[in-house]
Amino acid sequence: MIFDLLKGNISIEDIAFSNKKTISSKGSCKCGGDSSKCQSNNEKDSDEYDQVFNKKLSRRSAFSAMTKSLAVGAGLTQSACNPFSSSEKSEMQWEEFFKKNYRLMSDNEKDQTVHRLTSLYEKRTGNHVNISTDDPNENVLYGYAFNISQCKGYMDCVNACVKENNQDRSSQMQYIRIHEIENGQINFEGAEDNFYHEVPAEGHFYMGTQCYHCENPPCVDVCPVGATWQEKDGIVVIDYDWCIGCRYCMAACPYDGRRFNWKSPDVPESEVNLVQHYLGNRLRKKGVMEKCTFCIQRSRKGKNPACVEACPTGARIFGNLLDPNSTIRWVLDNKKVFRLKEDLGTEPKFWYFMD
Amino acid sequence: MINEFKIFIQFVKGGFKVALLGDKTYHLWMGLLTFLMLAATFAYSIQIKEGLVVTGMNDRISWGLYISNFTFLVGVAAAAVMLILPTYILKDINFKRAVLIGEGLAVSALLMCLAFVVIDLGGPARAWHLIPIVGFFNFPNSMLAWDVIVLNGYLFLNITIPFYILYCHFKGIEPNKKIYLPGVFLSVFWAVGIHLVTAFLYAGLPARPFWNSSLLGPRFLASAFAAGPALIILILDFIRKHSEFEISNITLRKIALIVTVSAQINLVMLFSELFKEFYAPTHHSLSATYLFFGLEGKNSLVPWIWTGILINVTATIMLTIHYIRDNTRNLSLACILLFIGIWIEKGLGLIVPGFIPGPWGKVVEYSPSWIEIIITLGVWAMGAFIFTILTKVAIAVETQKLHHS
Amino acid sequence: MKKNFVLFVILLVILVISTEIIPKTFGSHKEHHLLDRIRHHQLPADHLMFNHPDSNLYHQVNCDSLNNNCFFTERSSVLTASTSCSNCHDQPLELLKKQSNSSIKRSHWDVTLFHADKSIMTCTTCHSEQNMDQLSTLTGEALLFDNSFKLCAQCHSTQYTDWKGGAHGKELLGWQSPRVAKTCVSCHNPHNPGFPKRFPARLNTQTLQN
Repeated sequence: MIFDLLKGNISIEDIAFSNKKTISSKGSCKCGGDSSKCQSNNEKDSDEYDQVFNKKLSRRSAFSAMTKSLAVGAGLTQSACNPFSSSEKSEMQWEEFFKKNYRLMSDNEKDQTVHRLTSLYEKRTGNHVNISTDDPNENVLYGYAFNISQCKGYMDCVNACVKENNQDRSSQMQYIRIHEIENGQINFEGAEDNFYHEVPAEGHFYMGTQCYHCENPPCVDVCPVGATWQEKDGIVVIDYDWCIGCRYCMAACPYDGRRFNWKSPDVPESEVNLVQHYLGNRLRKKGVMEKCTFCIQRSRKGKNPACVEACPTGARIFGNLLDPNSTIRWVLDNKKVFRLKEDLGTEPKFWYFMD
Repeated sequence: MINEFKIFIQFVKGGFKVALLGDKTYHLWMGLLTFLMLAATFAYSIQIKEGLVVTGMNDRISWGLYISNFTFLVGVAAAAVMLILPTYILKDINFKRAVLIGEGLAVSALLMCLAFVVIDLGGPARAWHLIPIVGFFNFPNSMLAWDVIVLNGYLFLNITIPFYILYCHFKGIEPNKKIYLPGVFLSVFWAVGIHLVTAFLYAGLPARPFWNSSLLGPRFLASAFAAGPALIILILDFIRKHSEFEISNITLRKIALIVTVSAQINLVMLFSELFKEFYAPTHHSLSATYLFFGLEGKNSLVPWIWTGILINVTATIMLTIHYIRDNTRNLSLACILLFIGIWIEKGLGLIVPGFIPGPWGKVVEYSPSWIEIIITLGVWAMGAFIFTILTKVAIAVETQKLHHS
Repeated sequence: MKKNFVLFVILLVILVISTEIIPKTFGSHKEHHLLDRIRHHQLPADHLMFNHPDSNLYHQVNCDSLNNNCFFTERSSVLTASTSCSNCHDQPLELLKKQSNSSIKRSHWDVTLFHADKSIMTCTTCHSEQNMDQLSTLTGEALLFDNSFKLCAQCHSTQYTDWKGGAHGKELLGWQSPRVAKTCVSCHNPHNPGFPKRFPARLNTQTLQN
């Protein structure tokens, strides 16, 4: 029956609405020859409806029509997805789509993907971006301390973080939240993080939260594709091109450390920070997770993260936990430090203390 | 070999025929479902283009209507085992006819679950990253990885075993017990597995105290074995009224007994959870406070959950009383109520409060957007569509209308 | 008899497993794992990775004899103007005021002290009239401007300890030790060390109600 369909002796309607016996009888021509030679019964019995919907096609014309429309369709799809159709660009995009998880890449593959990303960016904007793939430094484990007495709620850290890490401006994405809490208890229930009045406000104190890069990160365990992991220097990172956007990690994080791109992130071209790291502040796309990376593009080069740099009161302290001479170790050894939600067993590497 | 292939083609062709032919009501029903599916496809294309910002979800409430329905439907899928257990293992002939329908329901529900998960992804094109070796499959750490395995395995079991049995009936031969019985045994344990794994997805997150309870897994099982068979009762009742497929009252009564006991256990568990949350409320009880009483003036889920509980309690009482349960019309009403009630308390009533308040105490409310609602309706329509086709074919085979000549 | 013996062996095995093997394998607590790990880590001697502070810009403060932890601060020569104070201040202040046209306002005429109160602080608490190119301690010892932090330490000893260790003050270079910190006067004006209120650097709008 399928061959009959292709030969053009019958149409789809014939199969649906009649049974096998009538189909086989329709296939033969009234004048006794086979139907391709016989034109008479086609034109006599047909009306306009039949001419369009019951048009009999020969196999050759059916195939050619189908192939042509397939080619046109493919071409249309291709150009719809690729407005600047250049084959080199599409080849790069194809390779980008099928690349591996970053932690499984060889150094050569990392170089290749950086090359592709910088080329694509240059083609798109004309600007040259520098994406580093610096490995973690040996004998380094980053730790962070926050001085509650010195934070005055200025939010200079938030501004610096947004600029440094190329975060989406239209949804006002911020990795850092500054909470204004009333004196009397460290209770976030009544805390306000959307304040705009002179700071520090009377009777309140300020605490900043962000990803704490836990030693026991719950977000790493739950990712089904392993798109997030903890590097040797303690930074919990995300491979943005590997993330499938299931948001399980967001549900697992007790500290509101993670942000999701619900739409395409919008960073004005003039404000893009061109000094980037593959796992850090390179430009993300919609549908992927992102978070604080302790400014991996800065810290792996010996610089402080942007928030530490920007804080005018010096309330933020960052350093190498494995170095006994570091300021972070001095703080841990000499100040009364605590961590938030300690009972969850996540071992965050972000301590709070007061003067 | 070729003969076998020819018989198989005959089966497929016959199946297509059965699926495509029907009376006006049937075509209207399938037409409605197709319309809903097309509308959902359009809505989904908008979601793909703009991103998940078109839904009502945000950084605070990162899972909404899609995952709520997913959670509920995994339970419905697991409930098919409730019919397998008596049929094959307790050798109750009464259930045998109902089992194929139940497994068809399991397949449809599972396909709906998989659809909801894919639709909820921010980057569905990258779903191939889940495939082991080619991608990176974070097994055994991630419960989602476990879920992928168990759901697909259950789907495989529920497609192959009923297909084998149906195909044998089509050929007019008795299915070989040695082939299907091990699969049946496995699927009993597997069904409990899929729903426990899905529960562990939520229960394993200490960041969300509303879910982080040891009772969540058992509660899921209890509510699944109440809602799933309830739906099966409604379907079987409909089938026996509109086709020649015979299902005795005894079968329906036995399934109703399962529903009743499960619904009662579900209520006991609910009471246990309410006690734990509200006897000595802690910071961890804020989510339950939001759900049942409202928090900081925000109370959009309060009428929702109380309606759900009221419906559940009413349905359970109706089912508990013998002479109400034995009357088929009342039974159907109780089953509808129970199904909706459990959908409320296990769907939005479970997922959304888990995120409220946020990790730093923020209370933000959630309401699904139109695109979310249309897509959800479309996925349910897809499930109903698949189920209708599977059931129609199964009934045709079982009533000897479709058989190998 | 044999049955009893087998039962006895099984019980013995269960006993051994539950009291010895399971607790030792799984029961070893991982509390303080992070702190233990960092405290026991041996940092190799050649650990320095990034640049040492430039001695032209920063000077090394006397190392704390307890833990040999040196740090660097900005040179006051970088901060202050090139003119030395004694160029103008060659006489006692009162005399200077009476001389020439006292109605003409000269440099830093408007320095008012908003620091503690007059029973604790006055100009001569820190400045020595005899030698205005240097500061003087409570006991009258001369102190270079570069080491002005030692004056602050006289009253603010807690902050001084914190500052030496790294819990107070602002880091100037990177996270790599040794520390390079701003001196007290880089942030706190010694004549008016407090900070006024200000508005935050950004306004979080309604979109951030999430």
